[in-house]
Amino acid sequence: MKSGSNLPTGSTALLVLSLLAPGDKYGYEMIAALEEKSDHTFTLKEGTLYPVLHSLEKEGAVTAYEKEAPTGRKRKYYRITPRGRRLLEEKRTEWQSFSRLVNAIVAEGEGLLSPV
Amino acid sequence: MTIPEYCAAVCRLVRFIPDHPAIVRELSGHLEDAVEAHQAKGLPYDQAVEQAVTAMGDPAEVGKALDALHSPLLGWIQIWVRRALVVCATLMLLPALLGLWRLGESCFPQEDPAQWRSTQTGEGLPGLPQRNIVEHSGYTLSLWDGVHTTGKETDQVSLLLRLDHFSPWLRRPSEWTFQSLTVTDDLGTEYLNWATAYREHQADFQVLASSSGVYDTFFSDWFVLTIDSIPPEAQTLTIALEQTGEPFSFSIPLTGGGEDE
Repeated sequence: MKSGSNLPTGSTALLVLSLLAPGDKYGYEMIAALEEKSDHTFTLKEGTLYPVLHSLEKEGAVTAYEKEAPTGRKRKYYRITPRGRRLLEEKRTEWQSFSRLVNAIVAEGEGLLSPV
Repeated sequence: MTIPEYCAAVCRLVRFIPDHPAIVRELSGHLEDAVEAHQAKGLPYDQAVEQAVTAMGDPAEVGKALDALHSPLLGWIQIWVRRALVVCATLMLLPALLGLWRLGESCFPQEDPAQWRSTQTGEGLPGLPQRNIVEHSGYTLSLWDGVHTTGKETDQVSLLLRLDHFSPWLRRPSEWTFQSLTVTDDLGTEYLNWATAYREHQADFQVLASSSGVYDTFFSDWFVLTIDSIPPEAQTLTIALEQTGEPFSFSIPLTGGGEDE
């Protein structure tokens, strides 16, 4: 993945759940989707994806199963659970209120910077 | 760093060893996918591996994070609880499986009571076999066959009894099982069992299963009850067994039991 902005702390779980919401995915597929959707902006050390996935699995937000790819390689797919969807909704609301606050502060700063 | 080296570096920090194979499978699968993607863009294999491994980040960081999630204590508790459940389920299913065996056995009986009859010289008793005469405390008693031998002064009756005990928890019966058995005839004569057999009239037990494997099965034991010195006038024998405080009895009609007949 190209270097760019680091992902905000705690946002990885939100991104992972958002990526899984439309359908099951395996680890590398999620990384590729994230790269594509963020237009190569985010930097995520790919290895750190797995502790996040395992943590969500432990919480019951996702389940995992193994499936063989056409190449014969076994891949571990993750699927979002109903509990995961509720968690996604909570995290999405948190993120929206957080981004509203940041935007408000940024907008206020913009006003102060305007020429006299 | 190669793919196996990266996976090993991660697993070195994960203390719960049983999860290592799954972690290695997942991480190496990811790295191989990444290598293929880089190669598709024209990179040679070595560079593709290097880029894929670099993109994964510090293996120590990943290993520490995974170790926190794959707790050895909880992992081993889960494994032992699962094993205990399997053992419990097996123990619970065992009687059911043995029950199926019993079903198969009852459909295809291995015993051959006719063989016992061929060794006897007397006349066969009517109305036999009488199956499941008594069911008590998990034991089922059947009167399988019987012969009546007419002597010069007294008669003798030999009965082939089958005792089924299908539960594996039940004790295998022995001749002691019949300690409290009494035999009487319609004339009021009491035939005592072998434990107090110093009387005129005797009832003697032979454990057939111990002497003949032909009749022996896992769930059934065969006994021969021999009643001697029966007056020729007797018409009926009544067998009573007082086992675990609940007495039961059954009667056997004798044919040719008297000289009048």
